[in-house]
Amino acid sequence: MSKWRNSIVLILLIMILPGCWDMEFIKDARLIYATGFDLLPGGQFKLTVTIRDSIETGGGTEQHNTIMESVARTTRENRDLMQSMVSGKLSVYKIRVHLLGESVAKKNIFPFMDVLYRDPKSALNARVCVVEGNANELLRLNKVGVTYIGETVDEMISGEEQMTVVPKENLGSIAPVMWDHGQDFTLPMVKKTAKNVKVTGTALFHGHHMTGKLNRQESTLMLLMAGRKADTARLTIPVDQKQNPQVANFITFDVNKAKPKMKVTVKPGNRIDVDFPMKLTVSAVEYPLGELSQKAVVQKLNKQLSAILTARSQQVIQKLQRANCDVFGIGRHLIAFHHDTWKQLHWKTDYRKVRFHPRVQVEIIGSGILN
Amino acid sequence: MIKESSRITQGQLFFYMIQAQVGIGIMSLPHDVHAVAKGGAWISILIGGVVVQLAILVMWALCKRFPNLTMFEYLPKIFGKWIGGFFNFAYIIFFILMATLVLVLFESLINKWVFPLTPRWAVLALIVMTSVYLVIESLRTITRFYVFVSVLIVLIVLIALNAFTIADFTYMFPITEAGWGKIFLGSNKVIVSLLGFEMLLVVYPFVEGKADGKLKAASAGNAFTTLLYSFLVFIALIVFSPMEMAMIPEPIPYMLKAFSFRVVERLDLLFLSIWTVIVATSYMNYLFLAANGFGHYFHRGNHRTAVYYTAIISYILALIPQSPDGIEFLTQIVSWASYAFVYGLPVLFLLISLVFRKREKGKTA
Repeated sequence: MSKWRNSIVLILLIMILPGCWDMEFIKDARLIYATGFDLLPGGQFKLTVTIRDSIETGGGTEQHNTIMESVARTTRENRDLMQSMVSGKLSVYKIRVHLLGESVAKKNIFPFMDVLYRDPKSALNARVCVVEGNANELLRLNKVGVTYIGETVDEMISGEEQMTVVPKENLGSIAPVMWDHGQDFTLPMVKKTAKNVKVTGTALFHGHHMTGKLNRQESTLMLLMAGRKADTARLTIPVDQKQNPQVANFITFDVNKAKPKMKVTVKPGNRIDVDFPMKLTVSAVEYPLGELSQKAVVQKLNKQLSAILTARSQQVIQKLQRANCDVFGIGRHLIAFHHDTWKQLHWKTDYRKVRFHPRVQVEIIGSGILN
Repeated sequence: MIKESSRITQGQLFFYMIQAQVGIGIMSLPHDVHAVAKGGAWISILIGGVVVQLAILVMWALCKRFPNLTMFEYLPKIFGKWIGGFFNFAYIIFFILMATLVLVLFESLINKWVFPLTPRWAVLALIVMTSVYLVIESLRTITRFYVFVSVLIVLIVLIALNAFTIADFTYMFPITEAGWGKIFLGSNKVIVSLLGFEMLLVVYPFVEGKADGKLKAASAGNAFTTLLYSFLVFIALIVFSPMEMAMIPEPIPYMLKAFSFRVVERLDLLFLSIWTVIVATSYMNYLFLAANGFGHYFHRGNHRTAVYYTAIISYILALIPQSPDGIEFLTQIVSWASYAFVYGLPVLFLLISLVFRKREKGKTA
């Protein structure tokens, strides 16, 4: 008897337990891969998405990319509008990359992104980048070579992250910074060329809007100073002018280790000094002039590179200060350890008055398999 | 008297303690405490743990005087049949309310995070049915399950450790920004989150061994929970910047949303699945306590039958509050009640039993 009862209960449970309210069939889902945000000249808001479909054919699966766009008042409204134009259910949980058009980035970006943070299904690990120009035009490329545009951008940024050219950020990681008064975030910046896309550097933000740019080399230096070196970091620096061909004037090196040591001191009158020594141990990967076996040459190079990089980091800091972008979190440091000073400061204007003293010290310790 | 087959060891008491305490609070505690104590929130948790420890001491001193009796049995011995019975029924109602609160909060979070379209009655029915299935068994069986699922807490810690990859320690400084007064005030929220340990009043006689050992096991359990909570709050403090924390009511799963691995994409869902079990054990605890009370009065000490209708009562009650205001109202009532029933009345009971020299007659354990 008991066996019968148990089996009936079991069957009933199996019928009840799976539920059928929150089912989402992957076969019905239209997965959005990339989204682009643009403000049109009239102030209207255009959202562009690329949808990835896999269609089962006899021989396997076939990939398709659909590009859709709509104009509406909010992000969510745009999504709903798009839903009315496609079959299947638009799904946001596989979005890999969000592209912010420059028009959006320079405004307050948060209103556009609120839904991305509020929706429990949204993927907070999606990359975010700024498009120089128009995100819609870039996504309209559809394919670069054999790769669909969404993947292209995503993989490109991922590659450049590993080269320490652009900061490694995603929706989740910029949120705490965006809401903190004491620091600012930066985002990778891409640009559409004729039929291609390239990563041009880093977009600087202050609070919720974009205020400046760094090119690729400046960006790498900034990341090194922020202690955010990824797998590799490579710099090419001119060390001579007289050689012919021009190529021989340069040294290219990989940074093995970057040790920035930031020290913030507050002096009376709320004068803030940031002592910023950074030690770089590097290995040359390209140096046509050779001679790296001689100690004297290496030492001279060390000195020269240190001077050049110190000057460059000064320029980078100037750009950051002009953009009011507190990447190094000086404000955060003040909040945490000099709270009384912080309360008297007006960081928006006082950040520019901070005196940085960068001092880069380069040491060549490797030269590949040549001397 | 307690049946031999439902006794538990002191080691099991340790795990029972953890499972009873750790529950719904994990999700929102960092946000709630941070709102009051800012960067010192993790200290508030530790202070809260000490307060709970004091309450545990009081309960232990009380229960030690009646080593073989549950609260439902000894309160009439202290106060006489009527007043004792009155207190007992008040406690039963309190336990049912606690169970209801656990259900309500659980449902609202599951609805928000995982199943927005699944109706309340279905989500609630699932957790209630599973819990009933376990709680009708003896305390020993229940506790064995608690020990078994304690592995999940290790998993939670492991998942949470990921946070150190994105942490910024300066977010928690200055630690005393809110001031020590606020940090102490913050522990107010904590002592409600650490509830569950009042099960000692009922479970104490089920535990084998000497009184000192029981105290040690219970205290160790409380220390573990306190440290676990403190650790999780600490992690939330270093992951979210202060202003962001104010916007995110459930920091722990929110933080996990940003991680992705090659195999696991949504860590928050994984966390929530584990957390569901942890919450279920809290609910089971209250279900057992209330059913034990009913059992004492109506079923000759056997809680089995009472579990069914206790569960149905809490299920129906949990269906009532629909709006956030309703939930807030219930939370308020229950947290006020908990001050009285968990932190207040046991002191009174202890004092009275000391003054009037009430203790269990016969052999002392």
